[in-house]
Amino acid sequence: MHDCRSSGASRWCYAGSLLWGLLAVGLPLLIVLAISFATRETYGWIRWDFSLANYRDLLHPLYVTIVWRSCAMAAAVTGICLLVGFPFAYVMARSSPRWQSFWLMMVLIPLWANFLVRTYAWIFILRTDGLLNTWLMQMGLIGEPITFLYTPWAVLIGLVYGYLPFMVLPVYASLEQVNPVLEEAARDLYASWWDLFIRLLVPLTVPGIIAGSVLVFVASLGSYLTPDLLGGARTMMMGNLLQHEFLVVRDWPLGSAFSIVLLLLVMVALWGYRRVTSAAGPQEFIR
Amino acid sequence: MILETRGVMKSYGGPPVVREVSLAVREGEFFSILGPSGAGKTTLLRLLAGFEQPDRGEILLQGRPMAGVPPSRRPVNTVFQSYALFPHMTAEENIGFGPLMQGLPRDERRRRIDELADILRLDGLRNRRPAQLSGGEQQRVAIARALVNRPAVLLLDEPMAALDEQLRQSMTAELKRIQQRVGITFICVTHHQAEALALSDRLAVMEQGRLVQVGTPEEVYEAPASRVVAEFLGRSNMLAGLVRLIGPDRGELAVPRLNLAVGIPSRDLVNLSDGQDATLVLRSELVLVRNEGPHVESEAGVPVVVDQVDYAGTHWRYRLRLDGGVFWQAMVSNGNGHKRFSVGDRVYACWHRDDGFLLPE
Repeated sequence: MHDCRSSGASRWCYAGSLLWGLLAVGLPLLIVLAISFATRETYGWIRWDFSLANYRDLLHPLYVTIVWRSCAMAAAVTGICLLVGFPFAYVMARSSPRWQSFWLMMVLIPLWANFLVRTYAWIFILRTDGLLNTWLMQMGLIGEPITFLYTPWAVLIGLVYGYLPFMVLPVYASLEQVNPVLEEAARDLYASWWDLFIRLLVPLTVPGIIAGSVLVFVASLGSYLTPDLLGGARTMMMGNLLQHEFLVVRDWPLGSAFSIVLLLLVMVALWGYRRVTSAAGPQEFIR
Repeated sequence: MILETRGVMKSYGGPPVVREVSLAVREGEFFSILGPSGAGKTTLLRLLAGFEQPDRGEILLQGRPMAGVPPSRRPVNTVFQSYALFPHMTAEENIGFGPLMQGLPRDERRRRIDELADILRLDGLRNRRPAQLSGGEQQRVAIARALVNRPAVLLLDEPMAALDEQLRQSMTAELKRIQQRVGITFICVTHHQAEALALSDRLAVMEQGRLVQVGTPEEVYEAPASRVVAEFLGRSNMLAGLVRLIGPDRGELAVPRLNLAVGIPSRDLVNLSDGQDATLVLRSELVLVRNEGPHVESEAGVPVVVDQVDYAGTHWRYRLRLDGGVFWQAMVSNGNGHKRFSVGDRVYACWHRDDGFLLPE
């Protein structure tokens, strides 16, 4: 094993990882970027010329709708994950150590199961003769089965379910750093529960909230499996469009242009994250 | 009485942390609760603040029972041990938090913040965050943040614990000044006896969840009610023995183990009976270390060997060994031509008989 801290070896280790990074990330990205300026030929071949036609094609209302729908869906998923995840993370952070590890396991265990399998489970729950409808009818709440599956709602539920841990974990980590005495001080100074959350806990956990939001937003924006399985053809998102362009239509140049746009959206989200957290100075928030 | 507790008990599942505490605090008083760590002081304070509910007994504030009343509805505010300032707010925002939550109008809030910033000398620090304030400054902000709400009682949890020794001394004087200026009742929990003695109008000594003595600092220091109080309050020397009454106004404490008998202070004779076990308590600053034994009737003394000598600036601190493995401490003022003794010297530890204090066992 090389010790990367020793001076001579460090340069080689550094060069190695740089090389690896270039090969594994930089090169494929450059190829995608190059293809995005090329043109599609018959049978899906690529003609290497330079044109902005693919990017112009992306302005087609159909594609714009899909980009818009993806962003709106990702934003909705992020919002719901925050609303559900924050109170959950709070309860976790304020439980006794034993309960904390129990809750942590409950959050992590689903991540060990295959995502595909877990999404299929939702099909069984949501379909017309599925668990949810059977249960609602037995309770006498509805007379007719409701169509959940293959609607945007099913996608929303599936994505919230899938990415909730990515919100809970960073928010929990932030909340755990907030000294409980601060909450007592706020209560002693006449703060209501609402004030406690809005004026104390939320400002003190901004780094965790933003980290969780970025994780959930980015993951939702590029999601492919969930909209594909739970949304059907009517709820196409960017991930599905990419798959469609590359594998079905075999229009690699258009698909590449689309990938670049998706990448830029993600980078904007990450840049916003960097800006907010560095302006706030995370250290200042602790204790 | 601005605050009263009657038979308050609290346990966290195990043995009670606070047992049968009955206490009455007068309006405008600086009252301290003094005791070693783990005595239940902080729990008692949390019961008063409303962070905990007593298992039994009741707490009355301004004559009103406080059972089930949450902290936000009690006319008390707390200065926390670590100050618990809100790290994302400036000093001024911290101070203004209580009035803001109470929904006071803007002018009133401003007036109160100005008033407290003046009393606590916070001008120039008002726009700083807690991280930019020193320990002493943070403490002043914490006190202002609590006082700005004009509570009937201010609770302070080990207010000096986070400060260094020098700051602690100047803040002790400062705290007294603040309390006199605002005229609010202060209840202060501390394990630091010098601080409690200097600050308090009255104090309570707490031990294993019980109040063992309540009184003025002089009363408690000069006439401790038990060995525990005596041990905790001063570097007191102890000697256990058997009471022997010789005449109507004469008696002595016999210590057969040391083959020794020392005179009993005449004021204590009335409380004692012949043959009773008792302990002599003698504060270390009242011990005279010298070559000769007691030479007048009003003196008492025991032969000792100097075991250790420390120079402590204003005085010499001697560790003295009595026969039978008992150690005493003597603080001898550094002046008046005191001749320094050395380790191994055979000398006498003497005292004025009435400076001693006899506690029946």
